[in-house]
Amino acid sequence: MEIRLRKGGRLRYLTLRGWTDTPHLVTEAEFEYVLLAVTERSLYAITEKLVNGYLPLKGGVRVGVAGEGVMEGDRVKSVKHISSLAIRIPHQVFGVSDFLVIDGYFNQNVLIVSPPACGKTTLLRDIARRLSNAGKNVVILDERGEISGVNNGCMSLDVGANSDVLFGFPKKIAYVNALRALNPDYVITDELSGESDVAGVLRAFYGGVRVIATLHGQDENALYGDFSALAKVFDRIIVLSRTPRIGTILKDLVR
Amino acid sequence: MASVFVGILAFFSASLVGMWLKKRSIEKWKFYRAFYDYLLFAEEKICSERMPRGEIDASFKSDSKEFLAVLKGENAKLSLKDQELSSIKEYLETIGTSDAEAQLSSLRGKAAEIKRMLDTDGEKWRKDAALYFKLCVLVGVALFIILV
Repeated sequence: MEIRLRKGGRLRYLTLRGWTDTPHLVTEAEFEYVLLAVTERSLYAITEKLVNGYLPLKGGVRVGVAGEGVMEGDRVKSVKHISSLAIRIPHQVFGVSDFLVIDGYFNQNVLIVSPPACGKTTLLRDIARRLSNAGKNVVILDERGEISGVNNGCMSLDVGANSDVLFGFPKKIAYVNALRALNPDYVITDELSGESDVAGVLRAFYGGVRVIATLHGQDENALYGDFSALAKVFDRIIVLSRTPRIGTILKDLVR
Repeated sequence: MASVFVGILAFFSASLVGMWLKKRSIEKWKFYRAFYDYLLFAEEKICSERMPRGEIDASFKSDSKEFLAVLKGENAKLSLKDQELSSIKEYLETIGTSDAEAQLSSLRGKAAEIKRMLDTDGEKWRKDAALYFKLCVLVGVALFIILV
């Protein structure tokens, strides 16, 4: 689920049925109230963290922000005059991965591709849960806590009995730590982006560890570009769409 | 005999009024002193750790129960005038609503203002506190002499 607030704009929200626009116009006071609530009345404490574009909250809730970047040299130092909030609330849908035969013999590298808000993370979480419950050692690289909803070491979302969660670690450190210390059968990671992810996935792949990952893109061609080095890694590519409803499987390519 | 009793009563009543006035002035001074300490504490914690507002409030210690009550948003009986109190409450409400740089400069500015106030008015409140008490005791003695 996602809630969108824009100063002076209409309040809208996303559910499994798609976007709904409400007639309510978000006033400045309402916007400030929500902003202070999500920052626990400590805006100063998070403006520098917002250079990544989002604020992680408890339970895997993620608040995306848009505002004015404050530059220091050629880097963004902080964000001020915040004008939009995108509050994403993770939810679990059991059984969305039932089309995959996941048992103790499942042995695939799977890539889930779709544009934002099509259900990638929900599918990823369900796969992680089933693999884990099938007896596989699953390590979840959950930088923002969205997959597991981890909070103070406790998972608020069901990711299975045999899952270990690396929360808050930058990806390039998380891959190394996972392989070195946690002996995974599967590494689960959300939203591949950048060279560190490519290097990490290759490291896992060549290390004999299976990878289940998600990637933003329209279709399987998203893999050819910055991520072409990963083309040989994935045995299966699942493309999701939000029409006719979120989570619709557009393609299931076994290579 | 009755006049002696009334005289003693008048003396103690005047002394109690003096003590109340003294306490009020001292509490007011302690309140502003705690407010100043809080501003410095918040500045330090935000500057070094970016500590969230809730944690700053929870970890701040002071001997002014009145200020701690205001910080918690409780309705306590205070030695401050309504206007003074509402301006302090208004300022406390703004802490946490701006980015770090703006927040720190606001805290520094407010701390300087309160420090100046403590150096001038604060000293006066403390001197007045002693003066009020002595005056009331003198009035009490005078009443006792007149009545007896």
